[in-house]
Amino acid sequence: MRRQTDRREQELEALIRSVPAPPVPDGFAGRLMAKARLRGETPRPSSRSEWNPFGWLEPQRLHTGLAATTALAVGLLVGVCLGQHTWRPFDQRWDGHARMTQADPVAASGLGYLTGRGDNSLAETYLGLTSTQNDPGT
Amino acid sequence: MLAVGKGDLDAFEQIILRHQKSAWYIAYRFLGDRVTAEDVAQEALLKILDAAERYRPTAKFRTYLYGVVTRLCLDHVRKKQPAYVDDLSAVSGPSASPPDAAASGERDEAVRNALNTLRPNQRMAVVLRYYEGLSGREIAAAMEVSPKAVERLLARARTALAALLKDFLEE
Repeated sequence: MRRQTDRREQELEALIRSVPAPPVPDGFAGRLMAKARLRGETPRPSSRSEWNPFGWLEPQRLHTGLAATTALAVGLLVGVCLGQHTWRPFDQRWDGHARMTQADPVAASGLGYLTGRGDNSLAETYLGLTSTQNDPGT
Repeated sequence: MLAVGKGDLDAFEQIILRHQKSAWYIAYRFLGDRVTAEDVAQEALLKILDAAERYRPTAKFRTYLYGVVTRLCLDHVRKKQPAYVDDLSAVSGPSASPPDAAASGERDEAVRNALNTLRPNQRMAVVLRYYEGLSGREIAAAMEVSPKAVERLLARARTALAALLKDFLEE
């Protein structure tokens, strides 16, 4: 049975192989080379569009890369300087506010305009009441 | 190929002269039309030229070429079903007597028609195996499938062809 199958496969193979094919057309290589030369003269978009992470290191793009890097560095430096100027007065303001709160709680709470009428002023009384209520010991 | 990658068109011409037969025969046997086969074979070789800069000799060039031609042929039939339209009676051989020529012409036509009824993957496996003499592994590499898949494709193709061509096979 196996031998019969093998023989049948060989026959089939011989039959398939017996079908001729025409030779390579005349001028095939010449036409192909003409197309190849034409392609060589025109830029190929596929190879140009390839992304290269180190492409900026190429000599023709180095100047552009350096200019971009310098602009970026200058921008960052300016940003840091402006940030420092903006941040410093805030720190100073915060420190001054803390010192003022410790020294004079009435002035710090914005009730200073109610003072100046003696020890039993409305502001002093209010602060006395609120500080007493918030004190867990009393 | 490395020289082609550096833009040497003379080296590319040498590659064409050496491999044009393979490219042409695969395309023709698979597509069955001279004009389309020439277009596809040329496109395959031009694709190889375009990719020459990126080519790495990790396998035989022949295997690489078969892969490119196979892909283009299969892509082509996905867009359009091929048909064996060429009259190849003149290719059968001038020495054959008229009755023999008629018989062989009929037989060749039957084989071509039978091949044309196969699914594209099966037909390509048959072309690469029986006309180009590739091994199962080489066919698998060219078609980007597993060797087991190639065996299955060939087995199904043989079964279908044996049924279609039973009149031409000896009992």
